[in-house]
Amino acid sequence: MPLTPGRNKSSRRLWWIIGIVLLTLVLSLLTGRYPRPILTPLKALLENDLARNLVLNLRLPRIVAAFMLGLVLSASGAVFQMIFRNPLVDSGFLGVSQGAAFGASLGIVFLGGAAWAVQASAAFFALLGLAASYFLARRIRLGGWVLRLVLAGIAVAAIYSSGTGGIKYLAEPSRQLPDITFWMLGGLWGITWPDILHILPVVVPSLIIIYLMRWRLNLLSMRDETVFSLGVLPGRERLVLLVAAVASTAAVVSKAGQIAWVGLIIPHIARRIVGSDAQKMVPAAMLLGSVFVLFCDDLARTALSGEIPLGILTSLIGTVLFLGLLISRGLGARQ
Amino acid sequence: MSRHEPLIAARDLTFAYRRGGPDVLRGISLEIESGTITAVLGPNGSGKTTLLNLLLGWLQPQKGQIELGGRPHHSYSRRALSRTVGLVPQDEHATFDLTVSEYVLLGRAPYLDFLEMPKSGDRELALQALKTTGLDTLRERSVSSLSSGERQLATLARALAQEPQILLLDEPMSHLDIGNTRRILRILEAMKERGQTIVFTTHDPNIVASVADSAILLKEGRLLASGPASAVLDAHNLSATYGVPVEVIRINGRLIVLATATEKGA
Amino acid sequence: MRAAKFRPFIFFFFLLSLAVIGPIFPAAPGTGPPFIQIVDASGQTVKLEKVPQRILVLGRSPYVVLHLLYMFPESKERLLGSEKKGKLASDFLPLVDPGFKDKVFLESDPGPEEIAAHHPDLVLVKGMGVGLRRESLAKVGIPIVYLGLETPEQFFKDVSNLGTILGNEQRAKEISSFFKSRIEGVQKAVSRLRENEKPRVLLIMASDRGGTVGMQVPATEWMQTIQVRSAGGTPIWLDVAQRTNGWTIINLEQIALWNPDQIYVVIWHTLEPQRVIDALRKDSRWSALKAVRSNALYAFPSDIYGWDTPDPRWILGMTWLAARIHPALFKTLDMSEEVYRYFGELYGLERKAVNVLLKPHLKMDIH
Repeated sequence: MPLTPGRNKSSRRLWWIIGIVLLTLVLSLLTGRYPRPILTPLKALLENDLARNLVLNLRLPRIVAAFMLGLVLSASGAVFQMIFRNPLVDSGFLGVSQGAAFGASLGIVFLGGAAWAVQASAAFFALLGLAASYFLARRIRLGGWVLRLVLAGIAVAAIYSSGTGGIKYLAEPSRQLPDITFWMLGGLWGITWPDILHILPVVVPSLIIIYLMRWRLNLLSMRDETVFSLGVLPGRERLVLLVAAVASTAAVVSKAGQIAWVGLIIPHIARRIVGSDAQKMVPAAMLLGSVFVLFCDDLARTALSGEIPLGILTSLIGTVLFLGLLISRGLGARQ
Repeated sequence: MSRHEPLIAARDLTFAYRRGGPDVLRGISLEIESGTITAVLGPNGSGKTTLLNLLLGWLQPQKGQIELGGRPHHSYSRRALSRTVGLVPQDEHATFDLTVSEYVLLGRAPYLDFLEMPKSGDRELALQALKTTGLDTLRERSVSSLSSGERQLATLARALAQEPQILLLDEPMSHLDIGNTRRILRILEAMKERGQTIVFTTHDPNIVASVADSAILLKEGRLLASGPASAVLDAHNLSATYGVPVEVIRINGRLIVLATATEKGA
Repeated sequence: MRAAKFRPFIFFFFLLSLAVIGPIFPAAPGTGPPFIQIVDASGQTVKLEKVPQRILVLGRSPYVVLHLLYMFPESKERLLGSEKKGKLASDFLPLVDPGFKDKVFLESDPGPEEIAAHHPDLVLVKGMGVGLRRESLAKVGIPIVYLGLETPEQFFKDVSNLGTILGNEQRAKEISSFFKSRIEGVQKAVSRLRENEKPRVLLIMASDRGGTVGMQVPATEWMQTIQVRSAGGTPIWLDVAQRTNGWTIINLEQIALWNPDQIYVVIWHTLEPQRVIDALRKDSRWSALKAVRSNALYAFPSDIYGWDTPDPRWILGMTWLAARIHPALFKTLDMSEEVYRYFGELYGLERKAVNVLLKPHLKMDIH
């Protein structure tokens, strides 16, 4: 009998998830409001020039962006949860996405709005937010570590949010303000291929790092002494993973705005399906996250004639899933 | 080849957790030979756990030096260090539920590069460790669902998978019943046969008597006595360590230590 | 299991290749020489291949654009439709174009695919707006032209642009000269006035949203403020107003502090102007004000639409306001005649039609 007989079952489930991902990708390509709501007939794609252009230049970049958004948010959520030993965090609870939002607004209003400046500013303030949450948590004297980190993260997030509000007040109303406001709602409304190119250099290496270090995440979620005694420098390796998670989150947030709940809920669902071993859980979370965001974005651009902000859909559907998980069997337990 | 050196050598260790705070350990010097089992004995709060953490290299002494194999900790690469010395802590818990086998597999980390995944050889060793500790029927269970004794065994299995030259154990038998205690003692003896060096802490002198070659007595951070177990474990030393009257008896060549209910002779 | 190791790399390579190939896809069809070229209100140069035949009007104030568009007779055939925006008391456009009801009406805030599904060849939007829409529509080859319409200068530029776009520059000139002649008429009379001869004017909007009657002043760069200035009044609310972002709420104490010479109240369309004015006059706090005592409290006129907004009727509002602020200078002005000429020259409505269809809704000179 092998060491982990459950591994084959988990592997099979992972393959199923991959299948669902591919199916969702194909269906997303055929979903939209042109020429009619919901499904685009293949004939139209083949014959109609306008339809082809629409699919390749409007839909496809959006699909790729939604896909990457799901990958990044779930992977980052898994990393935060394991490194901080806290099942209740994601980038929204640690001040990371609010920091990215603040940094991006700053970039739009004060740094000229060039794509790289916005992204760099987002990444810087996101990292700052994470560091602030962590060090603030260490100073709080109330409750266990789980609670302290969440409290600190909420405080940092709130400070950033008011800062962003202040920047909105100072923004030039006809051009900058609509950019910021729209983007704060969270949506992939205006994603173009150049946007994808901008974030790819940050997102791909980060995801690769997180993916390759996923087994180490199991270890890094333990106490520092244990990590040390097993030959791993706890500070350094955790930092590498955190930087990868935060940088990639900041990159996607700078394009898509704040999208909540994905990083929080998807790793829990992944754990429920394939188990807590990060070696399986991380890829499962990434794939499930990409399906989730893709589905929500398809809904955002197809359900009504106008655009539903993506952040609202992920929060709504994510919360329903979260409640379902809470009610059914409790988080993280596997019998 | 130089003259025979003890595997672990410590000179005049002094350690406090906070600068200006009370010294937890004072002036500790010891030598541990390779291939032996050494027990560190002392009441609660005598600094046993701190001593292990210093030997591990996790804590640095304010005064004094420690050498493993004749070299200080910092001269080892961290992976080489974790292949040289490992620690089984007293209480371990994981926030997220790994299965027992995944937990034990973590012990192979010193042999894996930071981007590597465990290979089939690693899984084999982990499985062996599970069998040795008698946990292989429980290997699909989640660690948090185990009893505290089973969890201790799991952490030991992890240390076995780690295959360190020196194994430090902090109160390894505190939650175990007689059967499992015996099992651990047998495992420790088997490790000694293979040439590994064991250092464990305990507050039960009888365990020391049954398996240890050498013993170190600590009280309030100071070294009270050290040397071969049979020599160190006498009524005088033990009473001084624990502050209660103690009697040492020999039965069939084995030392038994008893706390007497009343003053001797009273 | 060996292959499994490469799975992630294949996957990321796939993503990478998508991003590299993507920009190579052609942006949009349209390779012929540009037939029409204009610079729109957002400062962008827009090139059109041919005269547009399927025009869609979108954005937050489609009616303002539509009212301007319909001053060009060819709009009747060329207008495809517009975005649905709110409910008004009754519609003006079916009076001008009986076929208006059959136009296409899109749900509020349509996405690019929804817009493309109607195959427009031009989209008109009031406002500088977010550039995203332009980029997404450009990807499917649909040009978008922004109109300003907030100030007279912008208005004339927009009229000229529309003339170029519709291929009827002659008509654009006619429209512009109609407006210019009115403006010049007012300016001639008013420009000789010294500052202290310009009455202190307060323009407020009274609305009953939320159950209570609220008072708000317009932004400093909005049409209402421009009308007051151009008509020879001194707008007194500039210190408390925002620059462009919206109406600012004020209270009675502030009004009492200012104690303006004249007060003009823009009445929200759900309220009855005479009732509001009467109620204000009866109110003891209002009756003490200088403007009320000297009978200089007026409701701002309107027909189906108000005369105080960026709607082209602003010219009527400005003319009327000038005659009210400086009655002595405009003794020969006949507002009734002005109304006939506005709807007649600009929309081709005969006097009979105006009498029957518009006069009933006209609320002018209520004080």
